[in-house]
Amino acid sequence: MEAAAAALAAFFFYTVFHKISSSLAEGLNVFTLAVILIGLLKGEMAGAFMGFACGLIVDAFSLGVFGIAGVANTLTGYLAGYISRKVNVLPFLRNLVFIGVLAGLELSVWMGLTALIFGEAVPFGKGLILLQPFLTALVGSLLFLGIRKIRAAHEK
Amino acid sequence: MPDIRKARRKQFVFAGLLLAQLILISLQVPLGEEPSYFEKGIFFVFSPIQKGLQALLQRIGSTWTRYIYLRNVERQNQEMRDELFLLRQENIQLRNGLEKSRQKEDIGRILTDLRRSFLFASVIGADASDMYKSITIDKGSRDGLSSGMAVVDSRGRLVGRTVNPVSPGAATVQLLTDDNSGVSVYSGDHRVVGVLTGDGKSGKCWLKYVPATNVDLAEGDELITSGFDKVYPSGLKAGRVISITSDSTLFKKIAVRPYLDFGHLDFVAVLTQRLDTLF
Repeated sequence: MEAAAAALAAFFFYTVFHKISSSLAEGLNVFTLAVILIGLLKGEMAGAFMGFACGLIVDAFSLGVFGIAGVANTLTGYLAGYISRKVNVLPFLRNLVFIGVLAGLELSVWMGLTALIFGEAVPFGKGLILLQPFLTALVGSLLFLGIRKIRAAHEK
Repeated sequence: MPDIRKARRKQFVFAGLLLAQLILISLQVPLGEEPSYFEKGIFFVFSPIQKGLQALLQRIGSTWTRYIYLRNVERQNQEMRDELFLLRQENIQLRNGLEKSRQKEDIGRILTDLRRSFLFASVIGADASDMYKSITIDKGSRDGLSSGMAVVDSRGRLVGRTVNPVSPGAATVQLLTDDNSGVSVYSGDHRVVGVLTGDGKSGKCWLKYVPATNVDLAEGDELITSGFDKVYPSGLKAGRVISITSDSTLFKKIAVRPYLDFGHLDFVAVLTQRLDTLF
């Protein structure tokens, strides 16, 4: 239920960011961010299902082969949950690097599959897309920090 | 023991999800541009949500500009009055010109058809993976749209064409900056014909198949659709040549800056019938 709400929230922010600026929508991947956060908070299975659902939405709203973003996001969601169970990624800086690496992985898998299927160079979109992992990590770790603080306050 | 079983079950489910996506990819590849029913279904479900959200954002934005931020309204009104005056004069001159070669009834019919040929639409979303590939608009098959219709911006300059998926209330538009798009164009000054295709990376385009021996085309030349491709009507402005280089190949390498402006792409018009068939 929470994963479905997160997928809808990601779709909402994708639409809002496009309305504000197409560069913002390109620079910050809200779908990957939502997938990683759900993976971190709810575990690998929720992350994988969230990645599956978000990937399908991304693929339906883009030209190209249907399923590429799905593979990249499913893998990212699963790894986010699995690795966070094995390694402590709660401290802010570690969390920032962790989300950055996963967002970079998602982008690399998507680019690799696109290049493999279309047999051509990957789309860099004026280099903005290269900012994606960093921006996603920054926003993601700040959000994660906020969620943890709210949870801690509730527990008190 | 139950932990191992649980972990294994998770791995199976994960592998199943990946396999399902790979099956979707392999089903899609042979279809090419044609989306699968599954993709159409997701587009059908989510595009009304996007349309509703966009309408809400539009309403919030227009409340600000209509009732609070009125700083430039007077100047804009004056500019629009001036433009309207000039357009009316131009319209009278064109009607007079047309009346010399056509019957009055013919002209009335042509102008009515012309008005019906444009369908105005709001842009409700950009491509979720690559902003230079496509946009989503808020008009669909219910409004008479189908795939393969030319789309222009508010100044009548080429934006792209409608492609599948087209749902009852929304449609996808392939932009001319997409690397899979191809538009037959000619240079307005020298009538050099080529195919305009997007580079898919930076919002630029390439003019392809202009022989290396050609000396007529120059930087700054305007490119206009020729209509030879039977998709885009002739006479739509597409972009301007920004650089021409030659290497050892048979064709020149010509970079083009399209008129398509991503910063001001809120509204577009779909040409529901070919304008060149009206006259």
